Amino acid sequence: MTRTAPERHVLSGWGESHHGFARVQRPRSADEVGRALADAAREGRRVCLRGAGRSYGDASVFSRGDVLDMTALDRVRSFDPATGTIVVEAGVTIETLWRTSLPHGYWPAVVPGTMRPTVGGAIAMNIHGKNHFKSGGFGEHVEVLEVALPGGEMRIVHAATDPGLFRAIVGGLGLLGVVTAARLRLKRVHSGLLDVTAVPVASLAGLIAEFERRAPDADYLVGWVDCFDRDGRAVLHDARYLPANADPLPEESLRLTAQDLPAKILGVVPRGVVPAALGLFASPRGMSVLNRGKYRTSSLRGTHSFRQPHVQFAFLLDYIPGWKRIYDPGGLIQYQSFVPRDAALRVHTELLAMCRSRGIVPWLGVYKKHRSCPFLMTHALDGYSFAMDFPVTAQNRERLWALCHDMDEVVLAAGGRFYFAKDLTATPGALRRAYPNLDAFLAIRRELDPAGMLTSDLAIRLGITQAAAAV
Amino acid sequence: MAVATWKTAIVVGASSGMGEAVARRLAAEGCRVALVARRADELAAVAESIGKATVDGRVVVRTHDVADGAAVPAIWDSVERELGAVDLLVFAAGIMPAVGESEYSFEKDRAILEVNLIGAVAWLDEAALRMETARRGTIVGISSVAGDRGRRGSPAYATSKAAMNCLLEALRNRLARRGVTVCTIRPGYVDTPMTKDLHLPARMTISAALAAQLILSAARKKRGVDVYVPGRWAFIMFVIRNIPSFVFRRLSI
Repeated sequence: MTRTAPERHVLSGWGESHHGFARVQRPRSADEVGRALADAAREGRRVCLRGAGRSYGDASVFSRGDVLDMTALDRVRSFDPATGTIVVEAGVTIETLWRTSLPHGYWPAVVPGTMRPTVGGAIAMNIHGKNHFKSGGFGEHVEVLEVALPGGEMRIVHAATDPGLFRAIVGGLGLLGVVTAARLRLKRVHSGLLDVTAVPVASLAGLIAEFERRAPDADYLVGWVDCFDRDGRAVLHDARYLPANADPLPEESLRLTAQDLPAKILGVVPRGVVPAALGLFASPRGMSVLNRGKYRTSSLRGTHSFRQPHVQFAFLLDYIPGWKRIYDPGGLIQYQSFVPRDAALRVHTELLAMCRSRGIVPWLGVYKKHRSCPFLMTHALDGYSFAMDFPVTAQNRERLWALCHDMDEVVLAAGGRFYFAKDLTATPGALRRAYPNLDAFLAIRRELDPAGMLTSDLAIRLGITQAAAAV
Repeated sequence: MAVATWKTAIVVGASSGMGEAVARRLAAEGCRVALVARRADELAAVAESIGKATVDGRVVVRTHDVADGAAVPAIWDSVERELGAVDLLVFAAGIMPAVGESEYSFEKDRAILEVNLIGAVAWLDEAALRMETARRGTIVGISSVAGDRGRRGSPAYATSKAAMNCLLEALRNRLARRGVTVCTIRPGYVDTPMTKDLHLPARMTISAALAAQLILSAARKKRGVDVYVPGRWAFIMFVIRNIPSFVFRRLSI
């Protein structure tokens, strides 16, 4: 039996602000996952799961521990163009999903802002997209999971017949079992294009009003917020699927080549030079100028509409390669708070004021609308989320963490939540207050993983599991 | 007293020569130093004399043969438990046994490569892993001008140093964006126990203490560097590197 020998790697969160070194094993099949778990159980080792490593913080890092890299489980087991049902291994990426399905007129029902994450990671975090208010989280479009349990059992979990377990594993942070494959339901689309409308609004209040006005009809809504502006001026993008027959040549727009990200930005700037150009703005003053420029450009044009391929609209983060380099060398954290609808304007206005008064202003702010969903450890609620990107430096790190903890208090007092695909600062106390179902989740965990084998730096930080013994 | 750039250092090959001199200087600047070497008695004596000269730094010793690369992670852990996070590694271990002009001894050459090269790989890998994780730190490799050309004197020694230069450059390129500085040091003639039988020309030879001072001041620069010690060897080796091979083999250098 050949098995990949463990290797030592430095692993980072996607925000490049959390790092750890670990022994990494890369199983190539569900069987090899099972064997890796059995080995770990026999040797009393604990294991962390990692997909594409797109969680911003510490969810897929296990400092000085063992990490199972799931990206080699990358096969599409089946795709049925008649029903839009696809069965994939856990390491298959969102990119593979749409590349497989779009020529047949299907698009993944929920996609994040980058196409690189794996399906396994998307399930563990129950990720969301710009259509959360309408389509819910990723897990709502999953029908069946194939899960390797830490005890060695391989279990098939149906959403319909085993909802209790299903709703614990989806969003379960990879702490209940190893999802090795999943059956997903994709969304029928009649064109490779979306009808997009950009709407500049002068304030956060105006942005929320625009969200509420457009939500009944829009398929995707996302707001970019200028955090350097006192009022939180913003640009909202509203995107809608084209109805049947609206696209005169759907077979053209559904082709993969029609979706590829353009090699040049605005038709002239090669994408490769963008990180260097962005580097010129890599300071609070520079980002203030960039944010102002973006708003001014949009407000000069006013509300305007255009058609855009799905890929260009959905995967903004992939559009500018190397954008993260503007955060070198300390990386970034994204502080994303979810707040009930009625409190959102008040809470998020207060958070912005706190950032300004502490002199730590987010370089990027993204606003989204959400609905509640049935998963045990869901971050989603009926309300709004505000994602703030902060640069991390050796000088600001302590103050930034203090700011986040103070913002936690404001968010928690309003009944808000956090999202562990992004988080790097929340405390065990915040977890307990934000997640009322925590005890139920821990009870299921004790049942499925009595030895506490599955872990991560995130789980350790939140007090769900204990730290690794020294390697 | 200069302000120490580093809080905690590991010096490998610290029982004599440049390693000892570097460790002594670091300790005198208030840096906590772990001395690593194969010879326990020499190491203890060096540690005692360094310990006496220390202002407020602490000195610990670890007996270790660098040919035993598998032991490195545990040594690193034990040093960090005692002294705190290591932010400087100096790899100064090296051997240069006398090699006859028509001698071809596999065991001797293998020992040279195991200490000078495989030992360097073990320690530099460990340092890179830890420091890339921490996103800070300095790695210093003591190589030699001997790595610049394939002189007829000691083929395996020259090979080990040439390979070490390549290793250090590759790590420097890997770690430049990760907050870690990697320095290649190519000493010329330095008066150490390793070179005592070579009858080096006195006017061209510097003391180990002066070499240590030059090494640390190069390493203190934030950008990773590749320097000759002392600096005049940069000119000498520029000339020697550019001698065509068919001429070089006719010369007595």
